[in-house]
Amino acid sequence: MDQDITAVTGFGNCTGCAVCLLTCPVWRRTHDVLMTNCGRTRALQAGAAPEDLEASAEACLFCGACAAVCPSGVDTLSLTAALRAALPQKRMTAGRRRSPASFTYAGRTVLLPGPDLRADALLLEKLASLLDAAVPPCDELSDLAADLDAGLRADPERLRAVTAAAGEASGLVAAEGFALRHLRKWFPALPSKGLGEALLGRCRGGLRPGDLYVVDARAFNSDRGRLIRLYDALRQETGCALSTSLQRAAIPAGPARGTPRSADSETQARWVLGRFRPRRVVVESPSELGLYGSVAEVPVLHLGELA
Amino acid sequence: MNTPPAEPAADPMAAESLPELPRQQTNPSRWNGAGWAAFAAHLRSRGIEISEKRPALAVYATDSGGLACGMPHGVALARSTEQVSEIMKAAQKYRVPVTVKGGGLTTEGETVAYGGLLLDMRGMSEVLSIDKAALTVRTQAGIYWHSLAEALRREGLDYLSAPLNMTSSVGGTLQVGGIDVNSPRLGCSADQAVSLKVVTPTGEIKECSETEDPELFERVLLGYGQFGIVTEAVMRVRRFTPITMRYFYYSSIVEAMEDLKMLVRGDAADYCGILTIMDKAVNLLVAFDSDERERAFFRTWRKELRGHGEAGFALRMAVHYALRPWKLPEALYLLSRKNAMQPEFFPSHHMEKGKIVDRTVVFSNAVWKFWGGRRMVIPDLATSEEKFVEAIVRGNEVCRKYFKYYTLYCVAIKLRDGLPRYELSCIPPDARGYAYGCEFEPMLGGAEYSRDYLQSFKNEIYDIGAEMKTSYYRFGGVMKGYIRRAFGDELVDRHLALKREADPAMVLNPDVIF
Repeated sequence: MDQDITAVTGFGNCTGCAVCLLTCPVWRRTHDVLMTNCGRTRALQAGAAPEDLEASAEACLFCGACAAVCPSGVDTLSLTAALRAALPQKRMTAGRRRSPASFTYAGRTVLLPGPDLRADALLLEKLASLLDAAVPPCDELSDLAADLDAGLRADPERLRAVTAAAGEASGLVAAEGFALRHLRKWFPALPSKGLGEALLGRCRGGLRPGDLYVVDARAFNSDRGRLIRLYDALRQETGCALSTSLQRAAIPAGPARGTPRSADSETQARWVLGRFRPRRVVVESPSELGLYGSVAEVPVLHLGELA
Repeated sequence: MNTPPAEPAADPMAAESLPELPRQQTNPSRWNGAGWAAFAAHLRSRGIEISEKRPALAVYATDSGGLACGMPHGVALARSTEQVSEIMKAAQKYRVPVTVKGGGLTTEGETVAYGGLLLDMRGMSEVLSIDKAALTVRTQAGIYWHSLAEALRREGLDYLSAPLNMTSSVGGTLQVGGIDVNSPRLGCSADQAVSLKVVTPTGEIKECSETEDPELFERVLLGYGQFGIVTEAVMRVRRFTPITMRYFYYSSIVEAMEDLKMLVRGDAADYCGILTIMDKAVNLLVAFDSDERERAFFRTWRKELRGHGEAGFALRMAVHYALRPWKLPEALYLLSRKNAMQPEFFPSHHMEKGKIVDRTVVFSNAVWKFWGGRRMVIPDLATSEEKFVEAIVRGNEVCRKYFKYYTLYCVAIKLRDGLPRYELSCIPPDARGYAYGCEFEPMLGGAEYSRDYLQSFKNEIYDIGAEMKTSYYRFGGVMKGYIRRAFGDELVDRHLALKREADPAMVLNPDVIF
């Protein structure tokens, strides 16, 4: 494995405290420590090779809940991505589609919708309007982020071209929370927000006591230190309940991008619903809208529909 | 059960070396690996999955202490009581050691397997039922206390007492004690058990409680895993309440300990304990489940305490260090440590109207953040009320001798006097009414200390206990040499005979106690 990544991720600092297990959706499903970040770091510390941990690394949902609560500050997502990238079959270059040259990011707030939101044209149009945001014709930025998370290698030329164009934007809003980790790295000076945070300014007034507010776990966990206060204030102001865990981490019900919804997703959604018994469910992530709609016995709507 | 004779104690190491020289294993009681293949094949034929792959084994190479290392031959995830029973029956038949691990929050290698099977109980982590009327919960024993708390909270309930560490498992805790800052009122975690489902060392499945097979119940609780594997537990729980926490600061550890004893005797607070930064900043914490209890405390007890509020203590410390400018680095350390820790004990997102709503999370996060590390050395002394102050003062001197920075954590434990489970346990034989415990934890940080140095430190702490006839929380594993010194041959031999009777092949958690 790349020695630089080894140092950057800090996996050597893992104490095996297992606090990360408490929020890990894979742990909740399997109760097998080897399938979790805790198991991967402990095995690496004891000399395991990336190929020994392939099944474990590939099982990760990249929700970032482990990173959000790790007392030792291990960069768990970078570690898992590095493990995936070190697997022999992960040699292809990331990125497949590009936005046509006619689309310009310059000076605009750009909404990066991802496939699930694109599939709901009406909602996408409404959200873009609410945010006064432009929508690129394809998801080149979030595709690139997803490919990197999958362990694919980025073509430096392509990465440079894509980020140079998008860097001209005045702000980015990611409907897929996993992309934020990469966006903030690529564009440190650019405001990059999750869809929920971006919409709350216009939609928070529609929340009320009895609502269960389902945060986009991947967006929340990517910047938990800041967002934890923002969402706690939202809860106190509106009286809604938050879907975060006892540790105030967000555990996704929806699967990772590109993987089908499974019974595990529904189990997790039911677990969240069972805790609160809400009168209405409001979700941030477009990919969880259908999931909660299929298991909840109360109305489920997207945050943007509150405006 | 017809137990086969022990395998000859051959040396499994480097058989090809020094071929002309007869050799004998240095520790003949240590298992030599014979029978593993047949054992594993037997279990696999019954559909029990065992991993022998090195990465899977490597995960279990050490415990939270990080100093005791060993590797099992294989790992199994506990999935059901019946599966655990099959494993133990086979373990007896093939004489294969079984080391049981839950959270693995031991520091002396008690959950490290030196060969044989590592049975990870966390595969059994479900809450089975909650009885809100009876205020009890039935849970699988591999569950983390945090996960249990999360399930209970959904019903407006909370556990009674549990370690200040949410990644301890229930089953392991019940078998060693489990101490919380509410233990002065509610006792140790083991004392909240109503009944247990246990797999005996010979693989029998038994339910036990104070009325059903009480002998087994008393042996298993605080039994350090020697007399059975707890697979399910019914425990008493209570209504959830947020807590109010108050701190009083001392520069004298003796005064703080005496005040702690006074508060415990007077049942003055719902939670109390001592947490220090060396012996310079001694923090007596008290907490309350209700405003009434807090008001009563301030009305009756506050004036009796010699501790100061934060401002008063800061002023005294400022004067103290102004007169001792050569101790400026120590003052800066105290200040930086206090500034780093204090916000973590009052995080706004775990607070509601000035009360801590998630104490399990707040305490545990702080424990790992400020006291956790890849290597942890936490010797302790468990004493009667009469011996508490002297033992801890002497332990503190040992800390000062070995380390620049360290922490003491002291609590009291309410006892139900006369219970057989307290025999050969962390509860000192001479304690009545209350036992007291203190952990001595050096802040190792990035400094390199040799194993010999750390072991010498532990030995000096434990020597105090042997001399004063106290007990220890962590007397197993690496420290088991102290067991006979602390408890005497007669008691230990009696328990050894019980163990031999219950575990003919002596395979369940070997090397922990006996």
